[in-house]
Amino acid sequence: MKNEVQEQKLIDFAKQTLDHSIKNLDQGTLSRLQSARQTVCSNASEPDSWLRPAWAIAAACLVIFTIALWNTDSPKVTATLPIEDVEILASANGWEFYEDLEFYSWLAENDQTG
Amino acid sequence: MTSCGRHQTLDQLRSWDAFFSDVERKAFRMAQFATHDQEEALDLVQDAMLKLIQRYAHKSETERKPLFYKILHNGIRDWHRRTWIRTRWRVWFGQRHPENEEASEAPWELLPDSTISDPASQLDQTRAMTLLKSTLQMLPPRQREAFLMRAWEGLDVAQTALAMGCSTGSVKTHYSRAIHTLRDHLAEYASIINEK
Repeated sequence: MKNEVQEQKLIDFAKQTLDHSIKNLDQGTLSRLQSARQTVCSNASEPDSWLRPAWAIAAACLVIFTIALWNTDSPKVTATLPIEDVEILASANGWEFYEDLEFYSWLAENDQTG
Repeated sequence: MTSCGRHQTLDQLRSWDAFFSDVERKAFRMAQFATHDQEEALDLVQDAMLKLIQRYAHKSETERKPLFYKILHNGIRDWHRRTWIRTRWRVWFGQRHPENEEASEAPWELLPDSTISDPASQLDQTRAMTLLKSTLQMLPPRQREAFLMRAWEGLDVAQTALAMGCSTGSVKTHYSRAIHTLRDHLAEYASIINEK
């Protein structure tokens, strides 16, 4: 019980001292606080409610567009080789044959016409 | 105040003005205890006011105070983080030593009290405030906040817990430890306390 009384007296002492300190704030600080309050009040305007979903939709569209763009631009890496490539690789003919393929085609056409 | 806000009615703005004028001094002093800087404290209070009215304008009047102190508490915490990082950078780049960062003594304590004409009484109040201030600044930040919000601002345990972002049990612990420390360090003033 005595402790509680002493605690209450301590709290009262602290409150009284702190109250005294804010009652006697200097004029400059009081002016700044008042100015801050008035600035806040003058700027007090809730964001328009219709703007909230508009912003959300715009943000969602931007995210989707970015993801889509990212996927389109990224190079497609195919794990499987086309059949033609496999044939070339597996062929007994050398690379030179395929390099001169155009020439052989021309030669074959000339043979047919000749 | 008639030009305040596009979406707040005049009554609402009067209500906000009354609320802010009620809490601003205590909030300023709490921020000053935390930052040791008058300008930073003023900025933190204004920022808390602005955020409260922007984000929680729809809340009831009874909810305003704990929410306001929650925003202020978060602002002070962020300020400490920023200050810590800034100090680290300065130390790393050798611009300044943290020892030189010691906060200057707050000027409010040294200002003359125009309401007290009796020098003895004035001296007594100044001494009491100096002692209380130094003791409060010895407390860990959360203990100090718990004490100031509970004992001075009059928030209950649940409101203080909301403001501090912790459990009610933590608030009770911080508050109890703060009281214990204050009692130990204000023993010099025990006679005054007991007389009052």
